[in-house]
Amino acid sequence: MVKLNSWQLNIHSPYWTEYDGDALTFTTDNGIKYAVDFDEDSNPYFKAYWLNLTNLTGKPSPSDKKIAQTVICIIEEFFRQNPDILLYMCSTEGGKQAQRARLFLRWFNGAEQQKHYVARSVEVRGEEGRTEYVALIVQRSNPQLEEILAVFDEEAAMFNDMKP
Amino acid sequence: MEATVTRKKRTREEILAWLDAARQRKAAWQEKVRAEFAERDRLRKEAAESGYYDLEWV
Repeated sequence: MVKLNSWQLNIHSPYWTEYDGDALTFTTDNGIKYAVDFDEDSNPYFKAYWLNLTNLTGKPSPSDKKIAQTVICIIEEFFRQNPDILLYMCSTEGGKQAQRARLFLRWFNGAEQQKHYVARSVEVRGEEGRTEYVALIVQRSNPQLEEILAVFDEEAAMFNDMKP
Repeated sequence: MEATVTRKKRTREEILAWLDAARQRKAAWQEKVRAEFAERDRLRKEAAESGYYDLEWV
């Protein structure tokens, strides 16, 4: 994966981002520090990365739109540098993964963003009753777009068919 | 003529195992970066409390 250009990223990002080791970090107005990382996926079909995001401070964050805006800038910079697929699995903390998935996809489904990206999500119910929300984001310019969406939809259908 | 790529489809169990592995890697990464941050924070506080930075260099 091509490392993100934090200089380019900081032109638009509301919070200043910088590398701390391998992770990209930023600190909010409330003193909460976040780390972002991209983990190479192991699926057998396409090159993809998981977006990882974590609150390092451990304190709950008050509502802050600049956090989402900063993460979106990071994702846009990821796609500027990498033509691959981005996957995101919402945190299950507090059982709020469904709300997180909706919030995450809201921006990518905006009119302007739909010109550049396709975003899909699937609710996966595991054997132990745990529900995961997995989102896929891919650029419309990806030459394998049709194939990527076909595989995602086919696999998502296996789980959607099991809904009561 | 277009070439047709045949892919082996993953089973439901394989997909669940794939997600579980991704979740475990994410948890391990979180644990690692949080521990690193906590250690750096501890060292920062220790340095601040040492009074070392109160010295004036002339």
